[in-house]
Amino acid sequence: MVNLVTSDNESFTVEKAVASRSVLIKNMLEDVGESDQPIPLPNVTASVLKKVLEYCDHHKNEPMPTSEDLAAEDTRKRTTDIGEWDQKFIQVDQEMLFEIILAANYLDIKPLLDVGCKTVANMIKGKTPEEIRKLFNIVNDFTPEEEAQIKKENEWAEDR
Amino acid sequence: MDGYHAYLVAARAEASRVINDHVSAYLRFRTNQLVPVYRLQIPDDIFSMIFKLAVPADWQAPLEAPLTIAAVCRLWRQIAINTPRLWTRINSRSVHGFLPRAKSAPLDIEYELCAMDRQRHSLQKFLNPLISRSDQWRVLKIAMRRTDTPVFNDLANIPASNLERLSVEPVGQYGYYGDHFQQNIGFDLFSGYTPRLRELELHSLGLPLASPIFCGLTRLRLSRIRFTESDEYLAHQLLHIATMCPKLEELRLNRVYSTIRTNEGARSPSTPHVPLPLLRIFSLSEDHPSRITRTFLGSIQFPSTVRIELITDAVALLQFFPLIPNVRLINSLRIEWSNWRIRGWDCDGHGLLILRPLRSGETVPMAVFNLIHQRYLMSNATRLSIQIPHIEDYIECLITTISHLPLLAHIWLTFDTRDVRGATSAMSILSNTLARSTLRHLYLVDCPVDPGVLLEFVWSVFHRNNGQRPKHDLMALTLVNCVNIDDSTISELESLVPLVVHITRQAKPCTLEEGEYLPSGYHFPGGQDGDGVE
Repeated sequence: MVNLVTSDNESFTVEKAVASRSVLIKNMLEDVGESDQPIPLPNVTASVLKKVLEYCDHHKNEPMPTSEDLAAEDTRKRTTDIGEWDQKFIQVDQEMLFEIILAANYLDIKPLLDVGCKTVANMIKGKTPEEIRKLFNIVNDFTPEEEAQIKKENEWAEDR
Repeated sequence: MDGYHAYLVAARAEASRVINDHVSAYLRFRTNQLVPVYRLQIPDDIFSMIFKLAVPADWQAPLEAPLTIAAVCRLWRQIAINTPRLWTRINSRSVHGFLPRAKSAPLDIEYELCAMDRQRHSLQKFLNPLISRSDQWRVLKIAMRRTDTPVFNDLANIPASNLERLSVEPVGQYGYYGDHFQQNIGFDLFSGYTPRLRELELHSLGLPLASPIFCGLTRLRLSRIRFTESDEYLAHQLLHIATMCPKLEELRLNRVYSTIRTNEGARSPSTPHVPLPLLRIFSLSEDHPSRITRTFLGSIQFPSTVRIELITDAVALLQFFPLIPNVRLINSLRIEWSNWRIRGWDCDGHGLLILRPLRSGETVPMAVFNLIHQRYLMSNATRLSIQIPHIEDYIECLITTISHLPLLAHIWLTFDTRDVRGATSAMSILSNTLARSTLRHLYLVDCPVDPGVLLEFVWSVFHRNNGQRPKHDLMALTLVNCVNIDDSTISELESLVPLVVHITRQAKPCTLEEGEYLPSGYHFPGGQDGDGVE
């Protein structure tokens, strides 16, 4: 078992197979060897780690992504399809969604990072800039000159 | 003095407006820092990854998708502009805006002009800013006009070491193939060095068949190309290309001709056997039986899962049918008489065979069908779906077909709802042929006959053993959209057949995906003995 301590000082004891879905933790365990020392995770809060561990537990028996998978990730054939369980798992509020993405990035859990990024990408797809702003509560911060510049460079697209 | 004062007032007002705009923009920028998407300080490379996922590079998303992302806010714009992969889809409209932002990323180039643009653009002009970056080309898709063909001289010696896909097709004044033309080029493109090229699609553009461009492909489509070499040479060279592409997954030859036909009776040089273990689709389309078809069907070692498409005339069909591989693996067969299309699937539902005429409306002499079924048994077919033909002579042909499929267990008969007389006649003729010991499930689709005719037909088919009920339990009858059937008829049918399913909804036409998998619609059942309708 592995003991993980979050930024808000909460402790989680999990199977090694679950914790090792994180490449960061896996490498730490390999470096440290057999030890009862808790592993501090200063960039992850308890609520987020709980969610991340739920993902890791569900996928603990799946093969880790190979270097070939990682090399292929940037190809044009990469889709934004998300598995059924992952879709339900990632149905969280926006704050938690981005927290999970950040945690997956920090903990180096590539498949989880993928699920998070694909979810956001799917939210963006097919929307206008105004709709995207509304979705993420973003305020249009362009100056009128910048707006004019954007309008000009987008003219050919609107001209279709 | 007044003028100077007015000038100062105007200048101050303008300066004030600019300052206000920037302050206002800055305040809105700061406001953005409070929302989760900003507050959490997500690294730029994660945003970049999200944007790349939102804008796939394969032309699935609208071309303006990266512009949309870059128009959301300052931060997103900065990240989007610094993500070269978002700007790699180049066409005649995006070339000047996207190309500088694509930096050194691989480019997907598509030159496809709408009628309005054709007056303003030329392939030459389009390629000018791209030629110096030809090493970045990953995909090059060109719809060329007759006047564009000299441009290929410019492509002769430039490097294209990252090109993965090349597609060239003609476009006429009135659209694709509008005024069909053909061009043969006598030199290699890209100095013959395209080590990453895997997909090559040439319509009406002939290249030297000995060119290295044809090596190592996984997908090759040649269409409407007339070569000036003899058909013997052409067949030999095309086969040579197959040997140079051992990982070929798709091979389509559509009306690839030679202007010189060698004597059919002349002895052909022996051709080697070419194994293509990964071939998924092999498609040949031609006007008349040719040496190419014979050479390919006779020389290629096809895998058992390959889908063969033969689009030709009746004579060629008869001539080449014995050479078609995997016919004995066909488990499900569909025959459409109206446009004589034959399709076959294996027991896993993968398409194995498509035969259809080159020209729509063309018919096949019954004799051809009869000969095919008599000579070349699809002995393992257990499922047959068939359109009942209008012409009575074809019914005889249908009887020949059924009688030469010894293991048939599931039969779908699709009628024309408007032709009551034809359906009545067909059922009267077919009942004896259908009364066979292997039959487990009969499906009648769109059958318009009266209840009396239907009862008599079913009795004949299912009660051939001196009026006794069938011995096995699997016998079933499914009626799909048989409009004249009421509840009392169903009750009577249930006394004749162990299982009767009546579905009243309008039957839908059978449409197949690109993969030509067994349709799960009413033509074939979804399961082993399912209700046959989605």
